[in-house]
Amino acid sequence: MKVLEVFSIILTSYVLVGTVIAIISRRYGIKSTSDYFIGSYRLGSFLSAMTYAATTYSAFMMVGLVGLTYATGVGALGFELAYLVATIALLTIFSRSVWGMARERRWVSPSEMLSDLYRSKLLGYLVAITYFIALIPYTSAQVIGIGTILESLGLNYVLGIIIATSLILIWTILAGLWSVASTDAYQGILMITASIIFLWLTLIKLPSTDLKTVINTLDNVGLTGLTPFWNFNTFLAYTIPWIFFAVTNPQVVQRIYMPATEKALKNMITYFSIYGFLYTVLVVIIGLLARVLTEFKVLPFISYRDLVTPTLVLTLDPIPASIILISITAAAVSTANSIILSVTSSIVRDFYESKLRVSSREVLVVSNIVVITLTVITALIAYLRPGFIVEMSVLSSVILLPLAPITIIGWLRVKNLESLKYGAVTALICGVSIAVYNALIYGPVRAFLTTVLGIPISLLVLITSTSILIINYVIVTRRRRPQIPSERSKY
Amino acid sequence: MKQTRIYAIVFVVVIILFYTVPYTTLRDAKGLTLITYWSLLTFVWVITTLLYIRRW
Repeated sequence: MKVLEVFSIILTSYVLVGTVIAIISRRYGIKSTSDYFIGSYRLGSFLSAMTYAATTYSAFMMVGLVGLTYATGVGALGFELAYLVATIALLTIFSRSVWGMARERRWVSPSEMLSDLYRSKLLGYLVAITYFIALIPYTSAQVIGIGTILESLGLNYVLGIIIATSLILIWTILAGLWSVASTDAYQGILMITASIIFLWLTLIKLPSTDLKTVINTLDNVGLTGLTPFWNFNTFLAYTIPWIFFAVTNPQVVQRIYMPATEKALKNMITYFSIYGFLYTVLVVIIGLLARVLTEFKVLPFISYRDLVTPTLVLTLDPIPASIILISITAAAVSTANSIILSVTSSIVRDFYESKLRVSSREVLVVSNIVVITLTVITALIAYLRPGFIVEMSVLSSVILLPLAPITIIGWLRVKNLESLKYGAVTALICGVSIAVYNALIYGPVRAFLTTVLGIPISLLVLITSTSILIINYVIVTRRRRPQIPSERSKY
Repeated sequence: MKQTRIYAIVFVVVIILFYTVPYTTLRDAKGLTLITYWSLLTFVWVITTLLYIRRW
């Protein structure tokens, strides 16, 4: 059988199994937005960890990171592991208190959390708008990825968009977070299994499995060290948005609220840490081995790095090749529907439910309408592929970066946080403006690596928003300082 | 609280090591040196974290 036929069979099985899982998850019942968006804080250890992992790791890993490693070497490992180290630390430091506060204050959306911490509705609205601007292009990029996979197999690109959109919609609407988390767990298992199969089959392709020969080959092309691509500024530009990913991206912040017990939260961090470490190392090794295959003339040199995985996969037997391609689809779908659900929660909770007295049933109908609308917008962008908007997906984490100091200071429960609300609003507006302004001036892709006064844009955004909050804090603290008696007597 | 502070300080140290060592001492590293350094540092950090959260 040809790859296309095998792929079609495996794709159909993947869709059917996922849909059955989503239907089964309906038994948990959806009665309120708390059920719909965060499973009413009732997720077990396994579901919590797997939905965290599958949401975090998108199609970027198997396509983008493999290609980045192939082209630029081991620096790509440092970049991705820096993300993991920081995420584990941020989860460990803050998640227990955030998890407790979420229950106590009934938080559902991350924008609602910030709005509540700073006692500022305006902040909540602006954060929800920022999520929309930053994450819809990013979600479209996932859908484009699925369309491109089908296109590479000779199928219609539009068919890929229809499949991706249908899966995002059906697996979200069937039972809200319950169907998203259950299918995430299924897809997370598929992703890690496929990466192991991919590594094994790439290893088998090597003409020589002698480790010394392999390392020497990589040494000769300079990929075992820091290549010129990974100069310090580029490393900073890549890592800074990702180091704060766990506190800036709503789809992962929201997952801190979800574990049923403190033990489940603890297990979520434990399992995610192990999963993240294994998945990252496996994917980077695949990228390095792909380059060795090129040096051994088994693979042609691939100049466009996003084509490394498709080129390598299509040299494999149809069944494993199809499983790997489906795992990339799974990574894209699991990230996309979690983002859609999270952005919807911000729109519904901040703009609708908190302002109007409406029944739970009405809110759930509105939630479904917003999910459908956002998914259709995402599909339209993927279909039309407008250059600028698609490229904006690269900048998504930079646009969200001003939320890092705002969220961390909020989580630290600084005294009289309310007095920092103007600083938080200004920090958000200034940070997002810097990112968007540079995207307009240089184009999103160039802006990502551009420096201003030798500082990468991402660092500039972070420094600006943090400084604004610090200045606000200093002003408020000085005003509040009590006058000493001798000074008072002067007047 | 005190333990969390110590953990946070160790995290800052790990992140500094993550950036500085490859761009100073290991700038011209070859073979498996850099890949081992970053992987080992992350692995040790994962283990440290797992031991720390067991005390929650």
